[in-house]
Amino acid sequence: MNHRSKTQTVLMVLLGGIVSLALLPAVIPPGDPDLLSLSQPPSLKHPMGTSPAGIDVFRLSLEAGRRAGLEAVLAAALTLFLGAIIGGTAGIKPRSWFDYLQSVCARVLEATGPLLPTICIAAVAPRLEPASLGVVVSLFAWPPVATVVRGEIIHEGERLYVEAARSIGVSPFRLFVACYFPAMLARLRPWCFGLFSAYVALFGALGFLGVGNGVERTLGFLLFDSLGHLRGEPWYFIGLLVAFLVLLGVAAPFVRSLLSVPSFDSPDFGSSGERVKRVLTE
Amino acid sequence: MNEATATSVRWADKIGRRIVRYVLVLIVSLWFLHAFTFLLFFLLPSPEFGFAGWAGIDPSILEATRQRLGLSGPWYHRYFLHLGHLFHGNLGQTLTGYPVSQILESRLRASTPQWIVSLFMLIFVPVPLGMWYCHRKINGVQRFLYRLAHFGFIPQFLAAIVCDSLFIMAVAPFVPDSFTNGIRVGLAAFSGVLLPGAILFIATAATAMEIIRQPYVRSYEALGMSPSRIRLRLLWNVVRALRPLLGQIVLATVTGTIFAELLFGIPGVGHLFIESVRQQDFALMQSYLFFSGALVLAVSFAQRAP
Repeated sequence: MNHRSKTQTVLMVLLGGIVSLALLPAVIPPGDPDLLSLSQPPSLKHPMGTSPAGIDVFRLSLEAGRRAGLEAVLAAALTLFLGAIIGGTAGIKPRSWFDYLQSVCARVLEATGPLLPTICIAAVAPRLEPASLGVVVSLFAWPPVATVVRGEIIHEGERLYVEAARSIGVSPFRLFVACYFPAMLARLRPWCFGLFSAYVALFGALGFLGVGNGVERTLGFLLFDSLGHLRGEPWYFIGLLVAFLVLLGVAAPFVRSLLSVPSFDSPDFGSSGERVKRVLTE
Repeated sequence: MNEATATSVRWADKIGRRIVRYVLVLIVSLWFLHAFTFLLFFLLPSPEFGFAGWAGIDPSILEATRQRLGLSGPWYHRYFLHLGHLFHGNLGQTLTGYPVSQILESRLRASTPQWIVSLFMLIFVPVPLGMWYCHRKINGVQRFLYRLAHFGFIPQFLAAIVCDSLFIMAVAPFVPDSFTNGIRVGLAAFSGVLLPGAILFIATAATAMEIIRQPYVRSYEALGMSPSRIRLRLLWNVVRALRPLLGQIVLATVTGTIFAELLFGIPGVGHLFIESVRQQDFALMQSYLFFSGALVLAVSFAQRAP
């Protein structure tokens, strides 16, 4: 086992523990306010102290982090799906009306970014569930993913073996499954963890601004709340900040490791010659 | 007509065509942007509810409010009315009855000092610092700085929180009151441009490290040019390579300004947007979304212009 894989294993075990604790509400249930211990400093009973409302900051961070993580995973998955579908369709038929339409929509959506329209919608429709908000965010955030997928598919479509397969009448669906999809997957792999972190930040920002449903238990809102107690109870702010940074930075390699798929050019997918053979013979 | 004049005419004609094309594409994109913002707010629950309440509303009050806010009539009528008003600089009225354009103008004035400091920071810090990497060997300090810049990718609201905490805990109690306002604006601008600055610095450094390895740079060295002169010559090449990032940098600065103004209590346009979001003031929200998008679109197209 080389140095990198050792580090990766240790990181995986550590992160697996943290994420399991965070994701399983039964292991550490959400904290209830304890009116007898308001604003307590860190102790054995409360490792990160208690908030001014008497809630254990460690449990509060876990609960808020769990929610932020789930929201981010959902929104990232939806964005990747939508971007792959739109970019894939545009890439298979470049310079078609659909390609032009998606390029204009992408230009407009990239100009506004996902944050500002989502703030508007979350503010005006306060009863939107996190799942619905994930759909809304993905509707505004697909353009970069679609651009990458479109470029990759156009590039892949210019390869000789793809042209050969197309010339003998292999259906676009089979071409997509055998050629375009693995190439697309290899390009989208870095986007999985990148989008996760970006959405943790985005939902954190929404909570910080106080928009959205059930915002009182989000990391962003709690961070905003803890700012007012910075002088008196610094552990409240520091505990939440640490939880947020852990979710942002450390969860990314964890997700990346989980989603590590062999690259299109790796031996698992075979050489170009084998791919040609596979496309032509299947 | 001699050859030089003919070349100038051809060049002017080419540039003129490109400018016309740029303006036309920009107008079409702005029209799409306007349609997008209109559609977005048309699909949301009507703002008169925000004004008159969600339950127990009197239909006559609702109709009067609709008419006062210019929201009566079918959607196409409202759309063309809105478009026509936009051409005349009329952005509608806020829920409290003030003209949106007037409020935006006054808040823009409050934002101006912060915007100037932000612009100064974006132009004079990340690019020259990135050009420092225009060298074949990168030393430890440069490597450390390059890695440190990745911390600029923290969420913008977190950057604003950290800068605000720093201001409250470490600056405000020890600095005389006459300097406090200037430091506050400086820190607000810094928190707003941390993300775009980090993007710009990393992109500049990476481009500089790539360009320095080009064969033509060796000929500069062979001619005996000093490293600083080579950097100066390569600056334009690096800046040209950074042009596609301009739109995203402007967008990141606009969103960063919102959090900075909110936390540092600057009554600028970013603060106005958050106020409008909390009051569900559709006219203000729509105008802010349209103008920030138009700014990013214009900058994105400008990088493609001659």
